[in-house]
Amino acid sequence: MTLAARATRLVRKGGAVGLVLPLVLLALWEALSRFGIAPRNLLPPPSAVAKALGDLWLAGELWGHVEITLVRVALGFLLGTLAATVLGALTGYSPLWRRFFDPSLQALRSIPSIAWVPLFVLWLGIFEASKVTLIAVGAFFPVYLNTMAGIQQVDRKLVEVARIHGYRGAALVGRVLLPAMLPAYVTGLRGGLGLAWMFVVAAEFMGASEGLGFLLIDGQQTGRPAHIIAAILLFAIFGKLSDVLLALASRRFVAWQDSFEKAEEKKADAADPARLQTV
Amino acid sequence: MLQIRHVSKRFDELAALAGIDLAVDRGEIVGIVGTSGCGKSTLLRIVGGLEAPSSGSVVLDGVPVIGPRPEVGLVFQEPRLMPWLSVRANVEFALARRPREQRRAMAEAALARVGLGSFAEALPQQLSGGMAQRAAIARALVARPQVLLLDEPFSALDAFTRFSLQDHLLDIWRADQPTMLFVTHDIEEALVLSDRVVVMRAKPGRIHAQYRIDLPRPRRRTEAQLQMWKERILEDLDLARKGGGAEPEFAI
Repeated sequence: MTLAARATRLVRKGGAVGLVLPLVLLALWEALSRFGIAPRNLLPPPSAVAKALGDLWLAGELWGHVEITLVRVALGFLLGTLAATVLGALTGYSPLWRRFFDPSLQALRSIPSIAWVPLFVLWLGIFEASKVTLIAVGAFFPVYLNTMAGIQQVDRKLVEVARIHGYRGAALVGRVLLPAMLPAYVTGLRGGLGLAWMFVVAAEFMGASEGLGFLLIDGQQTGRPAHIIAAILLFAIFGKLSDVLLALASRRFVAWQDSFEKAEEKKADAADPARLQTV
Repeated sequence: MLQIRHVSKRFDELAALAGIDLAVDRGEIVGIVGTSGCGKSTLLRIVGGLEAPSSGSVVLDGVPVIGPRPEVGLVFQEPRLMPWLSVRANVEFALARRPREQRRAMAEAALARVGLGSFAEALPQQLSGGMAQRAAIARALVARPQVLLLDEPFSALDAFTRFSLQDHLLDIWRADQPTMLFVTHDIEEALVLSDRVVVMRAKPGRIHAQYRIDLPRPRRRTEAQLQMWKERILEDLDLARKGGGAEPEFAI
């Protein structure tokens, strides 16, 4: 097998094919700024962004910004998820609770969550409490909706099988409802985490003195676009990282649902011309 | 002995079952055939304790059936395996109250009996339709129920798989001799398997005729006597074509 074929195969197999476009764009961007085609003071080249990151790191500021943002996301996500899980479980399991809670929650959902900001600041002050609350509100709805739907959509026929074998109450929940709804729940968690990252930016726009969102605003006010881009980059990295960790942690519980995807991948692999050459 | 005593079931205005009386001896195989909507599945669900009759009662060895019970195993048209559990764990699902070691051993024995011994650790979605249904039968049988109820257990399978599973079911029956009550659309299936075939008719659902099939098993599907019974059952169901011609296909 030639080196080129080997590289092609590696790229396809590892999903590394997704790296090609960003790398090309990065090179293009660097060239544009370096040769003065794009204005450097508005679009600093990647190298300048890297330098800004390095400077922040050396000044000992970077980790502080990252840390406080991570803590806010984690706390808000945790609180929102907790509330959403309890309410979602109640409304999913019992039609009575659903009729009681769900209309109100759906009504609240139609309020753009950023609209809460002034009220939260008024109620909870400008410091951490209002920020964490806003993030919790953001994380709440995907988790709530998926929990409720996940429980509602459990196959009635499987529940019947459990009933035949004498499962009731906690045993029924633990052996059938919970495992059956977990894939939907994980989808909800990942959606909730995504929104938590979105809302931390909004939260840090409202008068923070630390955090990645603050870096964004600060970069705008002091005219340092490299800082803005560096902060955006960090959001991307930590957002993706947290999602990957969540996906890995939950993989064990939803593996049975993924196997179909895996089978599809195998098929795609078999159709891979590079693979045919090796055979 | 399983006794169905004057069981009726109404769904609002619709009389699904009207006064069903049927006594099934221990170890007897009874096949119930009938057109769609004759209430045969409802009857099976009532015997299984999944639904309550509007009037009448089901009595198993002198004890009224008022809910699902461990002496009664059920097999549905679909395998209904928990997709997140391995095949073995699915079979163990029916043994919740027993110690772990015993559960495992019993599940493995049951899987071996249906020929799925080497698939114990597979997930249900890795099985073919026929294998999944065999796993469901293993789950229904693992607790050694006295009565096995089967609701069109093979109707979703292709003909070859169906034949082989019918033979399989008879092998299993020979070992444990559970009382079997099964519902089917397939008259031939009922004739090949049953000691007695019960013909039901709709509006309201009732027993129209019963035939004792006193031929030794295993029976050949082409046996002349079976064809004769088949004719008569088709006539019972108004499905026989008058004046000869091709025999009508009796299917869903």
